[in-house]
Amino acid sequence: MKTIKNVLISFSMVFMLSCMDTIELDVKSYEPMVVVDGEINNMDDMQSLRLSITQPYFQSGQKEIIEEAVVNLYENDHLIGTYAYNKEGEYSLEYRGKIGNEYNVEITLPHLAEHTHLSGKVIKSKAEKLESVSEITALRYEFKEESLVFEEGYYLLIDTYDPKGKGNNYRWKVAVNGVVSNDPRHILVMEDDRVDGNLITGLDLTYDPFQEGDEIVVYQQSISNKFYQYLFDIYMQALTQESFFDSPAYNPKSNLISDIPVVGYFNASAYHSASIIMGE
Amino acid sequence: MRKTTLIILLLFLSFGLLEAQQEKMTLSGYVRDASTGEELIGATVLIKGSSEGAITNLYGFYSISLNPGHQTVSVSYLGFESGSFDIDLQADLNFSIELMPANLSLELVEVSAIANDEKILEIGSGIERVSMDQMRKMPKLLGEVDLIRNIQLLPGISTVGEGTSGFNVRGGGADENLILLDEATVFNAAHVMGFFSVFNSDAIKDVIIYKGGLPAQYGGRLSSVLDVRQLEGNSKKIQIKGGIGLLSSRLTVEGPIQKDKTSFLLAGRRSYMDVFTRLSGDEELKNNSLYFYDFNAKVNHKFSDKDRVFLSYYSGNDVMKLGDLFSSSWGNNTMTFRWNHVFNPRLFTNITVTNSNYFYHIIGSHGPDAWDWKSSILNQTFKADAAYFVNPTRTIDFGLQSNMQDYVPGTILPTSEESAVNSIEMAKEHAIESGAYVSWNERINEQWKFELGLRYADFRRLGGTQYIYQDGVMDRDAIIDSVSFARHQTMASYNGLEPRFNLSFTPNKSTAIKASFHRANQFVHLISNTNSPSPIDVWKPSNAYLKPAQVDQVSLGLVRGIKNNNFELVVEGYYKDYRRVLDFKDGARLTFNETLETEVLEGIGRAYGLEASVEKKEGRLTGRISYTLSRSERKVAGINQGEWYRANFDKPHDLSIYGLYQLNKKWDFSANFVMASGRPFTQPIGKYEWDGMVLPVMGERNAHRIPTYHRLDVSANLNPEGKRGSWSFGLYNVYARRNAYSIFFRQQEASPQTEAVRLSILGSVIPSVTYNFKF
Repeated sequence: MKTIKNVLISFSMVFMLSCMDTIELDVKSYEPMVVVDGEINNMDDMQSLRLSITQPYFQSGQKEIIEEAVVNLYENDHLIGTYAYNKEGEYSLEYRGKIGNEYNVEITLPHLAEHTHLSGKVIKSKAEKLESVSEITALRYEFKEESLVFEEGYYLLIDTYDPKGKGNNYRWKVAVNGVVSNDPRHILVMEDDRVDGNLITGLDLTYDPFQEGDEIVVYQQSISNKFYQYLFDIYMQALTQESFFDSPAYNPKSNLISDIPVVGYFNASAYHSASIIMGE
Repeated sequence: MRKTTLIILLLFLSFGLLEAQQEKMTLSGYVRDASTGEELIGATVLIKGSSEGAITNLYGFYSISLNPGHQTVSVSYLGFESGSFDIDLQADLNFSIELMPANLSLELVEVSAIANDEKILEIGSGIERVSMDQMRKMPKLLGEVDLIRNIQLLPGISTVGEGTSGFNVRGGGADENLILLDEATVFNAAHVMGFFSVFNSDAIKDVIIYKGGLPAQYGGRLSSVLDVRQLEGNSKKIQIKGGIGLLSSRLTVEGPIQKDKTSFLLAGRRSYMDVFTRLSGDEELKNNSLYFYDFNAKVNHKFSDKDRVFLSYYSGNDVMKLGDLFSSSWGNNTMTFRWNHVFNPRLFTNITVTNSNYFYHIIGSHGPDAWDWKSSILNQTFKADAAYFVNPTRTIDFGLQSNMQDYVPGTILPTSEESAVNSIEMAKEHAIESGAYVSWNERINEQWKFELGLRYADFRRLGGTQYIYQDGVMDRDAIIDSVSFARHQTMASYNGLEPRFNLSFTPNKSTAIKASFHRANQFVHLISNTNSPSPIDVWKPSNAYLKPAQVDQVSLGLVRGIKNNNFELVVEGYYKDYRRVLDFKDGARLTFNETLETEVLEGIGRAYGLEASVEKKEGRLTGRISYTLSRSERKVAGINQGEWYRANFDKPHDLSIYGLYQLNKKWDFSANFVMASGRPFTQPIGKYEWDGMVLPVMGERNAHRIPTYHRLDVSANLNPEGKRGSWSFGLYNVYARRNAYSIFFRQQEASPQTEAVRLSILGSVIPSVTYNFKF
């Protein structure tokens, strides 16, 4: 993944005469869609899922949440439980996912006064298998001085391994002092096509260099082929749109099925985490 | 009644006998530049007092059949003084002509009635010839005379944006243009990602672009042929010329090895950004590199007026290095051997053998994903062409060619012990593309002419692995089997007839109405889902699943010379009907994918438009105004709900204005103004929050358009009298227009609010100074 990033960014930076500025644009047509944002994992005791409605792109203000939907979780096609509504569009269920099982959700929307055409509609997710994930064997850092290519600071490196057999995909989330970046250009995913069965040593997970004393927690998660593709599509579009080599934009392929427009993803992942303090 | 009929029959017979007894003689030869000996392509040769005439072919040769007796031959070529010669034709005559370059006289060059009527004389439409002299005087980016940038000022030719490699002709993709350098194929004609082309103007003699009515001798691409011919080398005297600019410098040495028999040309150009970095005191900066170079070489020998051989070579490369982190290099090498042989004054032949190699090499040398990636395309062609001048009204062109293609899509190797990357070698691909053609050019009478051609194209994909998909579902997960083919076994083959037709009606010497039709197949595809081609894009030959694309193009146009052809008005409309064009699934994975057919979608396309231009050719002020109104659309199942959508390079409006003013012998000034519709893009219509990120909901593909592009460039050229050097001063983008290359969308920093951002590539005025010398 960094391969393509390096190639595209490097090619694009050849001519330093480019500039950027904001402009005003109108949205000519817009149709609200339901957003499903949820995951089941083997790490948390409480699993959560969020439901909301999309907004016109340039509109400011709070997102529109969906309350009182019925959200059921299935494990290998058997009903496990129904999520309880908390607040602000968030639903939770006390359950911990198990490796090797397939999970999906079924959501029945409530009456929505502002979007009656969405009321009572059903959304299902395609089953996702909760695959195991290899451990982070080491977390390290490397301090780099200011240079043409690197900013000064601490760079985070991890060691891990990929089991033999293709189809193991990874995502890393890096919490810096408890905060995970919400920039889609900072999505860190990898498939094992090129590294199948190998030790992975010194993989750089830094998007912005860290400061001394930063508390870092790295979450290494297993992701399915389809979820890898979903995240990779978000990442590549966010990354390349500022370069010479942008592609026609499109909506990443969701695993949600409904007869109404719906976006988002419901995935199943195993986690392993490790932590380090920069400079110590 | 019977007596009348008999008399009429006798009259016809006697007329026929008279015709048979009046045997035609052939006048043939070459038209050359008197100062350098270079053959002039497209020079006009006319016989005064008759409608007989010819245009010199791609090798500067002409042939006309005439009645014996006294004839006056008038020869003209833009930028040269016209010549008029009296001859007494009693037998076939080899008559080669030399024309002097026009001097910089303050008086208007006398406009000959026969001057500049090439477009009226030739049968085909959609043909553009580029004047190298004019190109050198036009405003330049960073002082670089650039062919690809200049042809975009012609009607029907555009680009998706500043600094993009490739160009689009009549709504066709960048891969639909056959680019030839001395008949060798060039796959990527761009330096520095497309800011400049690989063509060193000091080494170029002639450039012809066929936008429609493709002659039968050309095949393999759908939209156009850009035929670039290098200079042969001055056969009269040694000449050294060059230039020093802000970005690059160039040097050309040419001259006779044996006067009027053997000559050579060596031309080099190199940029020098890396020279400055190496001079830096900063150790890290020294370790970076960015440059490009071109090297052209040619030698030719004339055994006699009947036999001539040429050997030409080109090598070019772009190199970029960022310390120890990353390096890349891509380029082209081409070699051409050619033999012209004149069997007799009516039969001209040419044998060409070419070798061209396009390659790139990228190294990422940091950490566990360190790798070394190489890819290349090797193309070897044999061509045999002949032109038979049957009689004064008929010429038959025929020939055949065969092209062997080797594609090495890529090899990735780990570069260090810490690299976790496994070696990957993509399977090499081989193909043979062949063609045979015949073209019948007929002048029916003084007003009607036609060119009827037929090309047979044959393509064979050789060797490799073919995957079998369950129930024909094109998905990697649906592979159920594979079949291996040995190196010389045919995996897939395609062939077909490609009719070519051009018709010209000239009611008078200043007017021509033309119609044309061509069908073309394209057997190799540029696999790229970016809006602009990149150096790492892959070319892929057709296989059992990736079928050849095909186009039918019709056009109808008018050419009108005004005021003794000093002004030329051209209006032409065209329509292109595409079949089996390729587009890609959303999120298509195109690099290192052995099952590319699973990422590709096939559909149809259409492109249509109207081109209009007015050109002033003589006088102190010359120039052209061109306007194109056009549309280019695609329809592909799986994209945009199967509805028609705008192609990435659709540009409804395209206006170019160019002017050159010759103030006096010392100074000339030129200006370009271009204005064009922005390219289409896909805009988000909604947004949502997912996993803490604000993400867009994208609307209909290419339903929006980036803001209109417009730009003014000016230049001034100083030619001091009696000096060997000249200066060229320029301003590119005079009013610093921030033309959008693209529009992208993002969340504001530390806020959930989203915004649209305009990315401009060259958003400021860019000055240039170049010193040119010649001695």
